[in-house]
Amino acid sequence: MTQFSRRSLLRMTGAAATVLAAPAVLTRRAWASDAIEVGSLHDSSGSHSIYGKEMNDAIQLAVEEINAGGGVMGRQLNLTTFDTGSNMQNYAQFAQRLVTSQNADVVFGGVSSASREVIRPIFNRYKTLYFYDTFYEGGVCDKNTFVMAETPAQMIGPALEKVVKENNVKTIYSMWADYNYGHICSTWLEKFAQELGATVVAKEFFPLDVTDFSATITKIQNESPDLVVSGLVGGNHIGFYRQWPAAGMLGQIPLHCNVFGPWEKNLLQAEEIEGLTASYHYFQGIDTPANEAFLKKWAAKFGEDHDEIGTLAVCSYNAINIWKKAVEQAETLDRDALVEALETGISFDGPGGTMQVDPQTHHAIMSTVVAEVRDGKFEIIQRNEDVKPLDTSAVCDLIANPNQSTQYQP
Amino acid sequence: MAIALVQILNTIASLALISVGLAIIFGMMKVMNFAHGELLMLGAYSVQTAYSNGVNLWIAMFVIAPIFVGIVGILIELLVIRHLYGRMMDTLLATWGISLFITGLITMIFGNVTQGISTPLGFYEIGGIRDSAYKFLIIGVTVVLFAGIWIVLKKTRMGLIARATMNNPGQVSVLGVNPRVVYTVTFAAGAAISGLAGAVLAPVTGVVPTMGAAYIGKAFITVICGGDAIFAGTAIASVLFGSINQVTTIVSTAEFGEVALLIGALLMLRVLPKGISSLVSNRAV
Amino acid sequence: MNRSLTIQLGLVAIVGGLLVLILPSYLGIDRVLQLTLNFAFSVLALSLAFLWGYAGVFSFGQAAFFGVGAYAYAAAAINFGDSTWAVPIAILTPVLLSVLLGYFMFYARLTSIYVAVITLVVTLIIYKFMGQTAKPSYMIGNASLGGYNGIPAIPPLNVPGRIDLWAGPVEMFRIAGGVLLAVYIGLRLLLVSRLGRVLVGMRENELRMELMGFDTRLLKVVAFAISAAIAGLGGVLFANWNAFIDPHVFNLAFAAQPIIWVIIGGLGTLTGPILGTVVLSTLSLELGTQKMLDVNLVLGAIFTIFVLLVPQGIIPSIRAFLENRRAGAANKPGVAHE
Repeated sequence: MTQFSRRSLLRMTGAAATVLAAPAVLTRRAWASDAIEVGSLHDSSGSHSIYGKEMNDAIQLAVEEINAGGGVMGRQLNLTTFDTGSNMQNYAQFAQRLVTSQNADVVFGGVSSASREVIRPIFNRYKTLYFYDTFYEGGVCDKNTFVMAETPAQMIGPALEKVVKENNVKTIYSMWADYNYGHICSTWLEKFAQELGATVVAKEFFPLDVTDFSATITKIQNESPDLVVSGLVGGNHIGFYRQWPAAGMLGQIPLHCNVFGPWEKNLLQAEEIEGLTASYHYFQGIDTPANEAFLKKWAAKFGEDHDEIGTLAVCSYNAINIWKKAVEQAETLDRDALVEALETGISFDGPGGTMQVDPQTHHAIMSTVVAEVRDGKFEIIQRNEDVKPLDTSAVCDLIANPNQSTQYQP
Repeated sequence: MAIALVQILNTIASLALISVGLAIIFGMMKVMNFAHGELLMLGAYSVQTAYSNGVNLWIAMFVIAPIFVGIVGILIELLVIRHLYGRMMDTLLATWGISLFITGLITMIFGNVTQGISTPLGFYEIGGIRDSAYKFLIIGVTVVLFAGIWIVLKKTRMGLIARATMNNPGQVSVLGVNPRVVYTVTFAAGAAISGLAGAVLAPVTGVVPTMGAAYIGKAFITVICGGDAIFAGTAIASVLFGSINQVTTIVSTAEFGEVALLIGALLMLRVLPKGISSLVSNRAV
Repeated sequence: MNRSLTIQLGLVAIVGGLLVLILPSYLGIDRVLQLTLNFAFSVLALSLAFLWGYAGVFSFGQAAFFGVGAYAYAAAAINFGDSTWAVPIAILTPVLLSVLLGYFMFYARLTSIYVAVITLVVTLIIYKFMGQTAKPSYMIGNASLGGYNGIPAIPPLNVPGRIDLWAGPVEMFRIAGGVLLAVYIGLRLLLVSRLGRVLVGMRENELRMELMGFDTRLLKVVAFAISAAIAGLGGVLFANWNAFIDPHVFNLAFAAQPIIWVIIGGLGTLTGPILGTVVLSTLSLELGTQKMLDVNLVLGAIFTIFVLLVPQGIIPSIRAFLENRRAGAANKPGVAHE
C-alpha cells in the first residue's frame, strides 16, 4: 500500500494551489475602471455544451467587434465569461459572482430553461439587466429579462403552415422530449394544427436518456400519419434520426423537426436527414450580404473550418447589439432607463434579418426561415417577416402590468 | 408481431452487449468500473474515427475498436487498478476519475459534435411495416460473443486459470501462474469487449463525449442483478430486463419502459438478493 | 463523556459559532453563498461519513435522501407558504423512506455490495420518476413537480409562525453553518454514546455483536434512518440555498459526489468529509472560470492521482504525518480515530 510521504503531500497541495490560483490571474484583468462590465454564462462543457459553445463564441465575437469600434458611449466592454458546465449550482454561484464581485452591468446567458429559472431571480434581486437568448417554451414575463430568441409560436406557426400545405397534411404524429419544453410545445402544435385543419393523432414523450426508438418507429407506421413532428432534444435522442432512415422510413412520411439545428445535424450523415425540415430565426445558409459579412467575421475569429453555426449564435449576437443600441439611446447604464429604452422597440438588422424588441412581452419580433435539409445543408425554402411571440403576448403585458417576474404556463 | 419479437430480441441483445464487459471486470476482479460507459464511448469514437479515415466499416468495428479499447484497458489496469486491488471503494473513486478524464479528453480532441456513422445494412419489411436490418447484426454479434465467452471460460486452459484466479489467487500463484498477469489480461478483455459493444452500437446512436452516461446505470443494474456467474447471470438478467423494458415500451410508451426496468430490478433483488446466479448451479460461469 | 471531549466540542461550538456569526461581514456575498452551499453539501457528506465510516454500512443513496428532503421541503413550503412545518416534513419523509428501504435490505441480510447497488437503483428510479413529472398533472397540492426543470421559487425558511421574517442570504449562511455545527457535534456525542459504540462494534465485527445479543439488522436500520434524517436536513438547506430543486440531485454523477467527498477527506473521520466537500466543490467551481482545460479532464486526473497517492484521505494522512513526526523514527502507520 502506498505509504504516505511528505513529498506527495507537498506535490498535491502545490498542484492544487496552482489550479486554484490560475483563474484569479485570468479573470483579474487590469481594465480601466470605466469599462462596462458584461457577463456571459453559458455551458462550454458538459451535456449542454453543444448548444452553449456557439453562444459563448458569439458573445465574445460581438464584444471584440464593439470594442474595436470604440466601445459603447466611448467606454470599452470588459467581458467576464464563466463556463457553467451544464451544472445548476455553478449557474447560481457564477450569477451571484457576476452581480456582486464583478458588478456586471448586463448579463447574457442561460442555455436550458432550468438554468434560466435558476439565475433569473438573482438578476432581479440585484437589478442587473438580463438577456436570455435560447429558443424555449415561451411564457417568461419579467420586467428585468429580455428574451431575444424564438418561442413555440415563432418556430411552429409559419413552418407548420408551410409543411402542412405543401404535403396536404390531415394527420400528424408528434413526439417530444419529456420535459416542460416538449409538453408546452406539444400543446402549441395541437393548436396550430387545428387552425390549419389537421389533427394531431398521437403525442408521445421520451425521457431524455432514451436511445432506442424502434418501437415508436413501428407505431408510426401502424398509424401512418401524413406528417411526423419531432421535438426530440439532446445527444441521446439523436438515435431517432439515425434509426428512422435505418428502418427505411426516410422520405416515406415527411419529418418536420422542432429542435433541429446544426448542433443536431452535424452529428448525422447527409443521407440520413435528406428532406427534413426545421424552422428558426437563422440558418447559416441564409443568402444575404449581411450574413455573408457576418460569416466572414466569424471565420476570421474562429477559423475557416469552424463548426456550422445556428440560431443560438445569432440570437446571442443580436441580443448584445440590441443592448448596445439601447445604451446609446438611453446614454446611461441605469437599469430602469435601459428597460425603458428597450421598450421603445429597438430593432437590429442582424445576420438573419431584423429582430425587434416587443415592448409588451420583452421578447422579440423577428424574421424566421423554414429550411429543408438537402445534401446535408439547410436550404432556405421560406422566409417570414415580423413573426410575433403570440404565445407569450397572449398572457403577458409588461407595459400594462410592469411588476411581474413569472413564467406563464399554457 | 414478428417485428415486435425482433425488437425485443434487439433490446435484450443491446443490454447484454453493454453489460458483458462490465460483468467480466466486476465478476472476476470485483472492480466497480465506473469508467465502463466511457469504454463504450471510446469504442464508438474509434470505429467512427477509423471509418471516416477510410477504413472498412467492419474492420473498424470488429478489429480496430476492440484492440484500441483493449489497449486503453491495459493502460488503466497497469497505471491505476493494479495498485488498488482489494480496495473496492477506492477503485470506484479512481475509475470515476478516469471516466471524467476520458470524457474531458475526448471533448478536447473531438469537440462536442462528431458526425456519427449511418446505420448500414438497410431495412427489412414484414406486413408493410419496415424496420432496420442492423438489429439482426446486433443480435448475431451478441450470440457469437456470449458463445465465445462461454467457450473460453469453460473449455480453455486460459478460462480455467482465470476462474481459478478469481476463486483463490494465492493458490494459483503457487501453481506457477502470476495472478497479476491474469488480472491485466482479464481487465483488457473486459475493456476490449466493451469497446466492441460501443462500436457495434455506434451506428444506431448519437456519438457524443457524454454518451457513456446513458448506458452505465443500466449496465450496472444488469450486472449486479446477474450476480456472480458472469455468463449465465448477465445473459438471464438481460433477457429479463430487456423484455420488461421493450414490452412495456411497445404496449405503453418509452417513459414507462425505463421505469419498469428499474422496478423489475428492485423487485428481483428483493426476491433473489444474491442475484440471478443463485438460481443456477454453482458450476455455471 | 469525558472531559477533554467536552472541552473540545465546547471549543468547536464557540469558535464555529463565532465564525458563522462574523464571517458574513468580512466576505463578499458570492463567497457567503458559496460557503452556504458547502455547508449544505457538508451535511450530506456527514450523513454518509457517519453511516459508512462508523456504522460500516455503505450507501449509494444518501443523495436520494438529500433530494427527497429538498423536494419534500419545496412541496410543503409552497403549499403552506410557511416553512414551520415544512422542515420536519422534509426530515421525516426521507426517514420513512430509509426505514422502508432499510427493512427491505437489512432484514433480508443483504451483503454490503447489494446494499450499495440497491440504494443506487432506488436513487436512479427516483431520478427517472422525477424526470418524467413535467406533465401539469403531477402536482403535490399547489406545487408542480416540473420534471427535469425542477421546482423554482421555493419559499425560504422563516421564523416559525412568522412568514414575514424570512431568511436572506446572510441569515441562510448562519442557519446552514449552525446546522452543520449542530450535526457535527451531535454526531460526535452520538458516537461516544452507547448506541454509537455498538454501531462501531458492528462495523468492526458484525458476528461478534450478534453473538453478544445485539440485533444488527435493527441497528443497521436505525443507523440508516439517522443518516437519512441528516441527509434530509442537508436537502432543506440546499432547497433554500437558491430557492430551487431539480432531479439532477438523483442522478449518478450527483449520487457519487458524497462518496468522493468522504473518500478524499478520509473515511472514519467527520472533519475529513467536511474538508473534502469544501475543497472539491470549490475546485470544480473555480475550474469553470478558466478556459484552457476541460473541467472534467482536470477533476478526473485529480481524483485518480489522489486515490493512488493519498489512499487514506486528507485528514487521516495529515494525522499519520503528524504522529510520525512526533514519534520520530519509530513510525507506525496511522489509523484514524476521532
